[in-house]
Amino acid sequence: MSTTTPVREAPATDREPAAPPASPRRRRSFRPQLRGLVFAVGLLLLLELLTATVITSLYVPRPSEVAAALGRELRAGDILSGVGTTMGAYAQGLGIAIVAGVLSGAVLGASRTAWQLFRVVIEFLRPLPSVALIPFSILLLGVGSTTTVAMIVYASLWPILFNTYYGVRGVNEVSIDAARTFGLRRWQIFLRIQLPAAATSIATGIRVSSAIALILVITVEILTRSGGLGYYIVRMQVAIRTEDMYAGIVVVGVLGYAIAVLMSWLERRVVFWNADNRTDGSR
Amino acid sequence: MENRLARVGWRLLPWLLPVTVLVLWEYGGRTSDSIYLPPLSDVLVALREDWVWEGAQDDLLPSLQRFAIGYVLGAVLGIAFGLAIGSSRRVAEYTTPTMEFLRALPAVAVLPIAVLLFGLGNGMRISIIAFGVLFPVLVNTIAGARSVRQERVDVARMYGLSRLQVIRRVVLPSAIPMISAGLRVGLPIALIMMVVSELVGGQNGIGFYLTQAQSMFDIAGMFTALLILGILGNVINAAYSWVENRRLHWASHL
Repeated sequence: MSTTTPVREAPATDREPAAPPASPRRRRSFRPQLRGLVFAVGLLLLLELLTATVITSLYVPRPSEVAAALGRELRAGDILSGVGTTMGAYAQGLGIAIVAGVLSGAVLGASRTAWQLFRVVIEFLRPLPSVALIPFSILLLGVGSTTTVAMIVYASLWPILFNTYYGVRGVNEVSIDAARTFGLRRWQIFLRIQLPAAATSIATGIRVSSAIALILVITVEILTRSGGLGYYIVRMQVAIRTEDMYAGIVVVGVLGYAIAVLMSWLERRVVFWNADNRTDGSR
Repeated sequence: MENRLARVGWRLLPWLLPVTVLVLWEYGGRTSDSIYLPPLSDVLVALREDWVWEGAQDDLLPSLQRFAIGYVLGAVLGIAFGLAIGSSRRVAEYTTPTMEFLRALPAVAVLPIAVLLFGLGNGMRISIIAFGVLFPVLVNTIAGARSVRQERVDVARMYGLSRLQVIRRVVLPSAIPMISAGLRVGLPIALIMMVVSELVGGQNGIGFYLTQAQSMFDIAGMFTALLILGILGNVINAAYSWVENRRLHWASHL
């Protein structure tokens, strides 16, 4: 099974090396962040300079104009209501995908027969680019939040399902045998041995899906124009209100970054044991 | 004897569900009069009519071409910049947060910018695919280059290798497992961006075919596009795994 290759991924945020002593630690964690900030600000200043002098295209607004537009639009409430719609669908879709993915992945991992039964269908569906289903979804479910949520669920299901499956599957045989010797029943073994051991892998799946879900929600909103940030961005594009469009994109970026940071923080907090066991269910 | 029967049954079990689904699809399509469920045979007829071979030339080939160009472009840029950034700790410290931010930005959100800048042509589609691939590869390459053991660099430098030679001979080989992981993450993203960029108004491509079929309520046609994309996704995935196993088997012992 060549598709089971584990994928290493760069951690979403720079991690601290394990427990450095107190005083150098402050210096080490502070300076890189300052440097990152310096670079980002410098880049923006450079862009500002370039757009003010060399690149005077209508389609490439100056960063300061984008910032002004962002402030104006945030006060006007247009972007914020878009963020509300987008994140509502996002949370709903990801939530359903987590429940469904963990449950089905756990069943597939615990029972060889179930995996053997569903294997071919799952392996075929997984590499299918999820966005190709959007036109179907529009025909069947209409334009609206149902389509958005359904597409998020479909796309973010796979990484969670596969990571749960590999996690449950990869539990050390010896610990299962040991549990059996102690007289635990099958479902007890599942709950107390297999699921906790799979938790790190499940967390990775959820982190991967949290990024995919954002891609899908923005894509569906752009394609169906059904409200939310994606729709806001296209609307501004069509109206050639370029600064406002860039402001919307910046907000999407901030959301994506916030989600990535939050997820890796949660991952470290909730499944603090064995955090190096990272695999990726791909998409 | 019984044992052997069980083994054959076990081998056949994975195919039970697909066959059942296909049979039910055909049966359901014939009995129900919902236009949303054309029988499998209609889909196969549409597949032959639409995709053999004119359709493949008109829609599949341009899609694949854009996919390949965009993917290679994004990958090459990502590896080149990633090595340049990652081989200096200081540069990496300065740039990583910005790169992380750009990686977290979903590539689709940039699509409207690409449309404004490049219009609705190949340039827009290729650039958006490349953008989607660039950042996963870039961030992974930086991490890979940062993970090089300092002794190896020091030894290489001691032997008088120039900075560029050190990057090529020491940093790049050590970073390859991480780069390969980034390339793998980029694969489905590129496929998604290929389809999305064609769904947004176009002249050809699988995504364009899909929107055409949708606007004409040609449900069988839509199913053929899904089949093609499913096969394409599987083939690309398998091809990558094959190359990875062939070329990078040494990396697993690193």
